[in-house]
Amino acid sequence: MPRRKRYLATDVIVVIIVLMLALPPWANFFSVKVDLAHMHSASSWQHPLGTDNLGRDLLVRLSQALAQAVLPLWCSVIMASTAGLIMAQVALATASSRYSRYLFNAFGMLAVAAASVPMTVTTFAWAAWFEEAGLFSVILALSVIFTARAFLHIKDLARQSTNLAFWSAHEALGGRTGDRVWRYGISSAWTPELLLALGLNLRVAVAIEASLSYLGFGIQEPTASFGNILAAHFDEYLKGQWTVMAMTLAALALTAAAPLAFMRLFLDSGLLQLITRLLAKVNGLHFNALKQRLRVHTSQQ
Amino acid sequence: MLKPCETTILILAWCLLLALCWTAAVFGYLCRSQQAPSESIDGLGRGVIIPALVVAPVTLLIAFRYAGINLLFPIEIFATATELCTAALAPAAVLFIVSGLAGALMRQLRLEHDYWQRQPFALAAVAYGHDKNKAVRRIVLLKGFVTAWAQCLPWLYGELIIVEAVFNAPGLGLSAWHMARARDHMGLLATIGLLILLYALSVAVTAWGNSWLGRRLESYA
Repeated sequence: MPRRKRYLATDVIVVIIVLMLALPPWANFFSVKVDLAHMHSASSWQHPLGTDNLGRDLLVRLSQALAQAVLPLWCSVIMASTAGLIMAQVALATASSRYSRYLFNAFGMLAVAAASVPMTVTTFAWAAWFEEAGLFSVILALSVIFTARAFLHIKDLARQSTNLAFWSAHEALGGRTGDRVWRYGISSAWTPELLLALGLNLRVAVAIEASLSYLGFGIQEPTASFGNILAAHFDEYLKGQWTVMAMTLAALALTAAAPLAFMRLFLDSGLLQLITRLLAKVNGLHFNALKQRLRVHTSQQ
Repeated sequence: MLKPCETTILILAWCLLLALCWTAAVFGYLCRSQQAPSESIDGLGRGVIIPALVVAPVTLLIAFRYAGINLLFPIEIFATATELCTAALAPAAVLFIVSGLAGALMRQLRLEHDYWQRQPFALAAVAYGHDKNKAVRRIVLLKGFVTAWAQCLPWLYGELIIVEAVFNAPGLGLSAWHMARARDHMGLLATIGLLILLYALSVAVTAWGNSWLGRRLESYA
């Protein structure tokens, strides 16, 4: 199979498995109650993936981990990245004003400080310092970090694009920086890179949350998380009961891989090209309007 | 008996050594295979970087169950210096994989090898009957290694806590974890501060390496 098709097939399979784990209400079909009579039972019709050390259905536990830990985390990362993107656009659009420049320079320095320390270390320190069990402290820490990273990413892309000919032309015609950042950057040329960066951030968020829950600083039992499921069964792996570990690790690896797989499928599907083409038409109209305005202005003079 | 800082440095030193060996192996493979690079820029995002939480327990379990090797760190009072040094190899190997350093090195070396062997000095070497790979060897190895190391440095330090926790390696990450569990906030602050200091030092050394390499590259241009 050619390389590209093989990647495509892998991505489709990964996304389908994760959706199958997350979407159906498995708790309605299988029991998640503690049942000590059926601890570590093997795969059966009653428990498709077997049960854990308290006799709870593993499929439901993994599904809950995805729904209760990963999905809120993903939503917060997407919102944080969007916030960073908006802030960067505002910062670039108002860069001509002295006070806003000072303000955003200060914010930029804070963002550099937040983004320069390894994410896992920052999130761990934050969660440990606030001593708050649950997802909130993890979400808060990751939101701050991803806002800062998105802000810096857009600023970096804008700095790289400043010397492009059409950016200079737009500037010469009197176009505003904010318009350029949106029209020629975020909604067109930078979109694939931003989407892939978002996919990577979502994957990183899953890994960090699982690590913190494993260390006992994220989600606590009885709420399910990949990390605390793994931590609760650690002794049993060494005794040879590795079914729970294998299932949980497979689910974790697939969940971590899913965002980037989804982004790649979205980029390959042609949907993005369609959207970009539509936006390019609007951009073209905007550029023509600018030229028209300049022509009128020159003729008046 | 090792201090937490020394254990962490030992693990990172093993990581560095593994990275150097891997760099040499990949370059050897690239020279022998002479294949055209297939990785595009689009390909950089591909591949699954598996979290430490997946690789570390699996390694531990497989080694323990199927090879009869206990990869957990030995209790320091009873262990010799050689045993402690050897014990740091397993966490370092896991860290080397989960930080993406192995993949990044392979990708970066392939890109650099392709780029530099198309440069005029490499073509001139071929015209004079010299080996093309020999002409580009130093620059490819140095630039590929420094770039990949710089890319993966945050992940090396990020995954250190979980790797040390799983392997029970008494480094800065494990100390931070114990202090956080004991609610020793000042100790936690000091340990995390030390970890960040070590990271800053590594970044500074990498940045110096990059700037030194930049000056060397100017002579090639």
